[in-house]
Amino acid sequence: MIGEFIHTVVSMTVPILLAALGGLFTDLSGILNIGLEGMMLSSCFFSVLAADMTGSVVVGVLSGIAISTAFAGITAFLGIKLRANIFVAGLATNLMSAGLTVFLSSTLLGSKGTVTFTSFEPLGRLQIPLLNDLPLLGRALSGYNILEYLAFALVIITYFVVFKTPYGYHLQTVGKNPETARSVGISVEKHIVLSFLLSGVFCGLAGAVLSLPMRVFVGGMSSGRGWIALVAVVLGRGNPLGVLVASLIFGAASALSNLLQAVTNLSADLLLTIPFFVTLTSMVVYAMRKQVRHD
Amino acid sequence: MSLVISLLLGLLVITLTSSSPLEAAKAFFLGSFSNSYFFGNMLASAVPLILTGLAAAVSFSSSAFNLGLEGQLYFGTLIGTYIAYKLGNFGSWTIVVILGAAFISGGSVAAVSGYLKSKWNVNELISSLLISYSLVYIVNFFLAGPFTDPLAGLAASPYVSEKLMFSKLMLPSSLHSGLLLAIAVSVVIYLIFSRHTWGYELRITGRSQFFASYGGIDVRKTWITAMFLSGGLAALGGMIDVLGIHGRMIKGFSYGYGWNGIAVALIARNNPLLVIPSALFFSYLESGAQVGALMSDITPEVARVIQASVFYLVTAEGLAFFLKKRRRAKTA
Amino acid sequence: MEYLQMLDIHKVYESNNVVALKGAKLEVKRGTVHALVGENGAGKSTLMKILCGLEAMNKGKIFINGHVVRIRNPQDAFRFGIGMVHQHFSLAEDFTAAQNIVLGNEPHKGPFVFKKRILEIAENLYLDSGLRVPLDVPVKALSIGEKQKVEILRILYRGGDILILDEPTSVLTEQEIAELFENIRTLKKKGKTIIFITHKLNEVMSISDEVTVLRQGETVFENKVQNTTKEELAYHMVGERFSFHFQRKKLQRGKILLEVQNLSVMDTTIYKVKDVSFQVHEGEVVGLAGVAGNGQLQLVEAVVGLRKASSGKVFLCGKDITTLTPKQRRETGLGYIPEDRLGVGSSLDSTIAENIVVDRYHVSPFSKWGLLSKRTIESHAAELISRFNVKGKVRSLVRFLSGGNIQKVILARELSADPSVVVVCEPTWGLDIRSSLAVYNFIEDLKERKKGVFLVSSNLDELLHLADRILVIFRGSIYANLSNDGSLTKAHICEYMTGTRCDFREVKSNVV
Repeated sequence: MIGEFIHTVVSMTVPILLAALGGLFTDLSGILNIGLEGMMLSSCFFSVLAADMTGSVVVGVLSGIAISTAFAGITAFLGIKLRANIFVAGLATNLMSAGLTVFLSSTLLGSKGTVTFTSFEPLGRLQIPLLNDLPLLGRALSGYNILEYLAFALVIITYFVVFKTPYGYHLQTVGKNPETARSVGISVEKHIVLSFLLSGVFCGLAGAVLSLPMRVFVGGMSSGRGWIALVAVVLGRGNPLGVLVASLIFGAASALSNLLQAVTNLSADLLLTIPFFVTLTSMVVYAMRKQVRHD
Repeated sequence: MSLVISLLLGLLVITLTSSSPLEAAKAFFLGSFSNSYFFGNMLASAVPLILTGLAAAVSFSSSAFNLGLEGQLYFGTLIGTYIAYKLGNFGSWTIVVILGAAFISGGSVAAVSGYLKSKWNVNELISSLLISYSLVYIVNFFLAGPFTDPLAGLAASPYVSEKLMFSKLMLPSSLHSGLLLAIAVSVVIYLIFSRHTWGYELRITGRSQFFASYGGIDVRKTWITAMFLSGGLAALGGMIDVLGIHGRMIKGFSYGYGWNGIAVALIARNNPLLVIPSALFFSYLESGAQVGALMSDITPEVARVIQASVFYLVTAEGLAFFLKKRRRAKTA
Repeated sequence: MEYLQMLDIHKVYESNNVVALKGAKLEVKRGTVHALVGENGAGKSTLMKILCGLEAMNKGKIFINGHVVRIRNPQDAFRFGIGMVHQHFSLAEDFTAAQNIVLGNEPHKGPFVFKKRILEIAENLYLDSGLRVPLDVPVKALSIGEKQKVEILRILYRGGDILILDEPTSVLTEQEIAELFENIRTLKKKGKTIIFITHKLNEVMSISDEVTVLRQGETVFENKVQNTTKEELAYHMVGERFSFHFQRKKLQRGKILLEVQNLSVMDTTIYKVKDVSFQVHEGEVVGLAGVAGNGQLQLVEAVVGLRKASSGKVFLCGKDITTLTPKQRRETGLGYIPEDRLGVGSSLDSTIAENIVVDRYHVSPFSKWGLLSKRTIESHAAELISRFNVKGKVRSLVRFLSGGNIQKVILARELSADPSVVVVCEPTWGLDIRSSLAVYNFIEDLKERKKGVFLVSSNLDELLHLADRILVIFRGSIYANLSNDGSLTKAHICEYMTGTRCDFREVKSNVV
């Protein structure tokens, strides 16, 4: 039972975690990409659509990544080359995604509600032999699909990239001291664009992991996870491990909400607010503690 | 300009998705003016956008970015509708009470984010959004539960008294006198911005917060008040829509009003008077799409794509505006 | 043939339409120390930023050894052996000195940074050049002199042959300046070429071989230092026989206007200001000297109300203002000319009129019952613009004004409020000599009208010109309270600034 709950927590954490890791790169570059929600949503739609059209999950994942990265690229381009307000461009991404997905869903698929796809094999769950048989934890440690395992691997990879490679050093400098970066020949613009593109890749994965396993698309499927991911980025304070912890907290809140919906008679609507309240409270607590240290 | 480009984009989309593009395009671009029903409806749907546009303009001008308009609108309207339902009608003051209640409710929600920002530097963008998401769920709970109309086919509140509704202006369309109220509010906000000391404080705080503190302006109070006004205006947008068109609060009736309001404000460059034509443009798109869907084979979602692309293009246009401003200053 | 030539350089800054350079020229011989001299705003920094790739020129040519070179970014500049040590340093504060030295070009093993090699490289450079710096400490803990050395080492690491030093002595103590000059001589012996930007003619005469003078974006004079004099250089810098004639009047000081008692201020977790006390009397200018970062900013902010003090009191004209807001302090008679002219002192995107009334818009006659009176505001602004000689119109955005004019707008506002005490910080930083003199006269005028002035400045000449008394702050405590009676020297003040000497026994024992 506990193992089952932990399994749900992890599954709920993964989309948030992936989006947050992507957001982390932009945070390190000094400009946070607030379009995470929209990018994730677009990827949700395009990944199932592509997988359905081609019968291949792999193509689905890649398509999700492609659309998400495209949005990120446009945002960065508008911000850097055209010197538009990147914050507004990020907002535009959210609006565009919401509109585009509903539009395409009704035009191409004839439905504005839930759409189920059947032309491809769902993302399989990998059972790791030894771990699977462990009494309590077995269900917690194995039985995830490949994208979920990938998410955790990415946390480790991100950690190394940020703290142990020249790219990571340069990115940190760009974010903390852009003038310094510029004077030693590190291109601030290139790093911002690259970090945005990376956020696109990660959000693409996040969206894919939401829709592909269940082979379903619902309008507004991302339901605020992109925004929660942003909070996880802020709480993570530039460290992938911090982002992981924050994402887990929010994933747990979502899992709790699900559990209570299944187990009690309380209104689903009210229970769905749990993740948001937890996120909000975390933000406020974090800000309060930061303030205390300043005064 | 970006508006023209996005209209062309819409034309392109229509051409691609319709089997008789010329007819569809005619319906989309001109259909709204073809009779008083469509025209009146177009004007009516601009009303909430004027108010949410003002809401966004007020908050953005002060640099306290209120993204939670949807939730503030929804919550304020719930409170207002509830009071309207409970009070019935006792004279011309009732409507003031109802609108006031909606305004204060929506405003207070937004003010919470403002307070969090002032006191602990909590990012108001995200906090207002998180609260907004939660409120939508909570209000929906009430609309399907304690405050529901058992006879209605969908999740909605009971009807409020007929006598509280705004009078219709252009039957058979849904255009109502709320439009005049919205325009009046817009003018008032404009006057506050340009003539009132509070408007000055708002603008200076928005442009340079440190200068404002140094000069003696209470930046914290300015943010909280701006957020309060912003949330209140958003709530008015929803309430006027209920009292003008629906007569009751229907679940999801205002979906998108908040976000579109932000887009409206950005196109209007946060100028309260320009919010009116900006909102009209948006509702023109929406209306064109509805008419197009009725009279030809395109889907109403076309409007959404265009609206979103307008939004994208507006950000690039911000640059053009800045360049123009500089060129003017060079010759000065 | 000259080693380095910059010919006919033109540059206009897009953000505020300022013409920085119009046909400037620079010719430098290999292995020399070349001084680039000019007033603030003459274009020296801009010219060098173009040389090291941080800015692009609109027109002009650069030659190295007779070949045309294109420098579009710092990478290009490094390839040609050009590097710059910036006035305000470009260091990554959280990284160590060693990491900063290799920043941008880290040695790596595969995809990972090769940490050991970094230390090796840094040590080699340090031994080779004689520039001593602790390598393993985060740069934010280093002294300013040490930070400068890190920047120089970085250039040497990149194979720099031409080193540009931008106003290197403006933030150093006398001792550090001497050390810097020693290092420059050593580098010269190793065949490096050094371009030295400064407006301090003493330094030009003592360390450089050749000099170029820029004025208003053009090159007006070039010569070997031995063939010219300070007076000739000064003449070319200003363009006329402008003698900086300023005579401080000795006035009888009156009652106490500003009193600070045992003030302590925290920043994050440490005390930046520790138990500071002083007074400012009527008709007196009290100066505060100190190396930047020793608590001046926190002290000033606590006095004007932009920061909360942890303990202690502030009195203005006998009234306790310790807990009052900035607005209330202004109303009590406190004025403030902040160091950060652009970020705090003014709103760049607002008009001059809007900037001027920020402290008075809410009172009559500027507004009545909450409604602003535009006409009154604008005529008031127009009157102040002419009184303070601001080159700008009532409705122009402050963004498009020159630094000197922005300072005048700030002065116009603060002084026209008729404060009893004005706190002034770095008032002439970045201003040309004429504007600086105007500012000095305004301050002297305040003194004559029996006001009090608290002047915080890192410019010792400025303090010696203006202040009747000079306090020195070191690590948050006052180390000296010196009377400026004509015999006070810069070297003497410096001893306190570096903490070498302290007149107050209790303070020394408090220092950790």
